[in-house]
Amino acid sequence: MSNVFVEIAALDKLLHEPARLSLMTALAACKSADFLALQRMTGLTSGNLSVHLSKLEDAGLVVLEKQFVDKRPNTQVQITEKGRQVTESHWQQLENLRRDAQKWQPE
Amino acid sequence: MNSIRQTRFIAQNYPQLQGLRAVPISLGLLVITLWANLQHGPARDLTLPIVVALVGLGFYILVDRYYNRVYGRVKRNISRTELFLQAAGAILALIAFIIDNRNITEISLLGLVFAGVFAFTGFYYCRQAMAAFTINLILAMVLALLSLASLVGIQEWWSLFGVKYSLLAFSLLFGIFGVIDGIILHIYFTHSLPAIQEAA
Repeated sequence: MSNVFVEIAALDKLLHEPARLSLMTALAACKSADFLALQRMTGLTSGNLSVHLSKLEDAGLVVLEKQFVDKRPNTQVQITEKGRQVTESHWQQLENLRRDAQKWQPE
Repeated sequence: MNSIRQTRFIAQNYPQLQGLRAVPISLGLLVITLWANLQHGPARDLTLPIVVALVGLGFYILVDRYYNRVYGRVKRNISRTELFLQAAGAILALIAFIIDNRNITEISLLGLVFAGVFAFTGFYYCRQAMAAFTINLILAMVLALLSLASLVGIQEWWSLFGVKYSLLAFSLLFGIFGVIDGIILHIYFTHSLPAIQEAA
């Protein structure tokens, strides 16, 4: 198998899912965001967003903090240091892949 | 779903793109400046500007609540450069106000600082929002040109509009431009967010 395909197969499946990659990219660009802001930025439904956030939390990539703001429940989401590193490295991998794919010639 | 680049840009500048926050403050400045322009000599009754300032603050809080309830909250990473530029801008505005108030220079330094505010907003917060970026730069250029108008022989252009002093003229323009800029940023912000839909 060509190196390009090996690299594609080696991509982190958890992060490579478009919705989760979008969420992690948004969270890496700010200090923290609440559930509603993430929903607005990504266009995900509440149900989908909850599922994706749970997976990211289980992997230790984000931290969820439930609190009350103006007597309303509010979930703050913050990227962890591990999450930040993994996201940056994922983008680097994608950039390398793009470069390698441009050079790739079928054998 | 938006492009990743746009999602990153929106997340970085989320509160700054919520432009309606600037509208009550800009309108308040506008009304207080118009009131000041109508005064003959030192004002004795300050009730109106105080009421306008309080109403402006009240509307600012309402707009802030609207954004938080409808669009959620994002805490930004504020860089040292940004903090430094904001502090420098505030100090420069104060110095420019004092110098302009004493008519030391022919040009308007306050107008130049206001031009700097719009240029900063354009370059720092709206780089990827082309319409907002362009409008901010145009507003900055208009303010800069009017500030330097006396250098090309255009004296006291503000008197053509019934405004008494350059300080009042630039405060009025800052108020009007602040409203325009705020509305444009809000339109960009609301249009750049994707519609909520099921993920694939």
